[in-house]
Amino acid sequence: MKRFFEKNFYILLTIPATVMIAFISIYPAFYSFALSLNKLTNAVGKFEYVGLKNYVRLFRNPDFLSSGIVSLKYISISLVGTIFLGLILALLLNKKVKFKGTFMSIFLIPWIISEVVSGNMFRWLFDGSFSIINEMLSEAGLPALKLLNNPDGALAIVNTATIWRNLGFAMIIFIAALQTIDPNVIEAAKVDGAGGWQQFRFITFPLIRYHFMVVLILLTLFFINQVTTVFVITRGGPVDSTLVPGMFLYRLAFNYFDLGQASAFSVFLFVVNIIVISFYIRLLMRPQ
Amino acid sequence: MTKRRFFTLITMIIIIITTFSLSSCVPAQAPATTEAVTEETPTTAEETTAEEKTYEGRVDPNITATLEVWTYYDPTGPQTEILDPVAKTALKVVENFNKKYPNVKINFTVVPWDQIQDKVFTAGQAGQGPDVATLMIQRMAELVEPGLLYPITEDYLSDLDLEDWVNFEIDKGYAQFDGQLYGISQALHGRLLWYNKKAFKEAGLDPEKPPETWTQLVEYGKALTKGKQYGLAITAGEKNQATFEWLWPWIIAGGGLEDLFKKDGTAGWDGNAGQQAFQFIYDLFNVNKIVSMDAVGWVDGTEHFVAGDTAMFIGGTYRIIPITKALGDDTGYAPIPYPEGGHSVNIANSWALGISKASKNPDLAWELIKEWLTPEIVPQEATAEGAVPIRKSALKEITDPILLFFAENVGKYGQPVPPTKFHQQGQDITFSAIQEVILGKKDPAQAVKDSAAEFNALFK
Repeated sequence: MKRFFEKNFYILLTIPATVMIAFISIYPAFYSFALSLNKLTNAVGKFEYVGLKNYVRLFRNPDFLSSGIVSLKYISISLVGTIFLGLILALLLNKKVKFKGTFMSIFLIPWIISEVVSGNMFRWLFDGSFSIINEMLSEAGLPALKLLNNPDGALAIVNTATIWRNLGFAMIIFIAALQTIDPNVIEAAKVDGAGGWQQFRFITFPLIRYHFMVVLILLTLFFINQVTTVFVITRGGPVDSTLVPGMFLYRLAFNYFDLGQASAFSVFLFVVNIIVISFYIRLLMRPQ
Repeated sequence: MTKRRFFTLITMIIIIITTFSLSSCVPAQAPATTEAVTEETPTTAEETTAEEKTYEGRVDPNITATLEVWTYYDPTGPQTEILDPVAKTALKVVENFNKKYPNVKINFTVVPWDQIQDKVFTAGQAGQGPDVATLMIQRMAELVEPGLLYPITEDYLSDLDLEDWVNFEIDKGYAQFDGQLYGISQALHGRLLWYNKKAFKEAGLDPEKPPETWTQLVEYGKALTKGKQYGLAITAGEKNQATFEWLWPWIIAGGGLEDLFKKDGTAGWDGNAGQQAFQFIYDLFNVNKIVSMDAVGWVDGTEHFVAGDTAMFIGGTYRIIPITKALGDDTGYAPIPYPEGGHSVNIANSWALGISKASKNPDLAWELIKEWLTPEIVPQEATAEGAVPIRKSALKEITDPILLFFAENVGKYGQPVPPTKFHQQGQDITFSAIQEVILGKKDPAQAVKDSAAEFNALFK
């Protein structure tokens, strides 16, 4: 027995976590899948098996397609914006800069602010009548920015708020990654005549690609499941122009109480997540 | 145990969990707790009814119990200025209730107002939930259909003097299904046209003669639109306010209730009344330009009205406190303007008290609800909510002329929204359609046709 415990000590230590994950993640995931094949009947807690009907209803739902288009725009713009700006900031702050710690703290503040607070801040910043931005434009004799009342403008504000909030997270991971690179490698590349872009393309990026993948995966998951920022700023409107997947799911589950269709959508999102993440892994983990 | 065996064990645990989760969805296998509640409660109700004559109430006054109440306000913590009076009224209710039932503890759980229905629904599916909840009366069907509420039976209602009720038809219109009532209003909310008397005077308009018809509304709006000030504010960026405050009343005003939802629950807004309302709203923004296009992004037009951005505002009676605080004696109020040949419509609704199926003691829960409906509490609740008291007798105690005007307005023009199985979808679809019209993405005739078709497809 003693030998068994000694041999399997580390495995035994994982049991509590495994059981917890099974109950809080695996169980609800399977329950959700089961729910997507059922319909609520007129009795508390009773379900009626309906096969794939919820999926058929979901794919025929006009909001599904419009939400899909909105999601592609929202997720791709937010991802590119957050990662690009996060990487640039990280590269800049990785050099010897004065007040490096202060700058890092400033860029990290949005990440620790509540999403409700930051969402409301953006709503008021871009309000057509009250915003400080429009007040300044008005003082300068320029026309007011009316972004929240048109579909493209509203999506742009939601994207800006998302990028602003997540920038610090991407930056801090990239800085951590950049600090693992041996400066001698960069120096050697410089001696060999490599320019700034070549250093980044052939030395820096390959060495931080695992961190890059982690940021990419986590941000994709954050953005696919985004609800709060969008809810606070636009509530999915105007004309459903900011109906991101999380909002659509919320609407199905908690506005329409259509748990069957909502579960079908969450299973669909789960599959999309798996496909996207597998694609990232294949792309970034292939041998150089 | 080898590593392989160990992993086999873990796999088996996961399979067992999975099997449980899948089996929980098998028809006719409701959670045991739920069944127990479902079977047990009618008996409880019958038993206590038999004992009714023994006590003043339906329950033994010496009973020791705890009642869970889910509300949107917080009677136990720091409160906002607006919600404070509602919470104070709740504390008075508890005090009165505890005089009759000293051993019953009332636990309040605060849920944000726009999530309370969701929480009751979600908890109800697991056989959980409060004894009493404050619910949006227009969304009762969502909880009644899956069987999450106890009916407020004729027997319960016999405790009340319904002759004294201002407009019990509104409760019936929203909360009665198959002849059974499932919720009872605490106070009635209406919508009306608020206006700034000072702005009227400055524009050369008589502040005592507000606009009555759509034509007058546009005329007044044009006279009041100058510089940064717009004539009218409507909340066009939040669906609940948009549909209840102006869109649906204007559809009904051009015809009747069936011009919004037909008797079978399908769309009725693709008729003449709907098209007329959509066209009128398009013109307000794009032709007459008396409403700012910014309103499409507003989630509460009150802020813009009280800030002096607009001279008129269509909004709820529940805005009485911020509006009167900002405008003081310049606060004007009138029925919502209507199309020529039509009539003013004021969609009335309320926070209703309902008994959750999770309640172990529905009779005691009803006893608590009754405390909110007493002649003492009704006027306090109405004043606190900025709403119309549900009892006629309570009107005598109301001195605020604005509340008295609300009461008259709700009595004359108050309408419930016709019940439909897809109330929420109806709100989303009509709201999205009107936004498309305002933004010029669709012409009004096409928008009503497409949105009605989208809504009716839900019934197939």
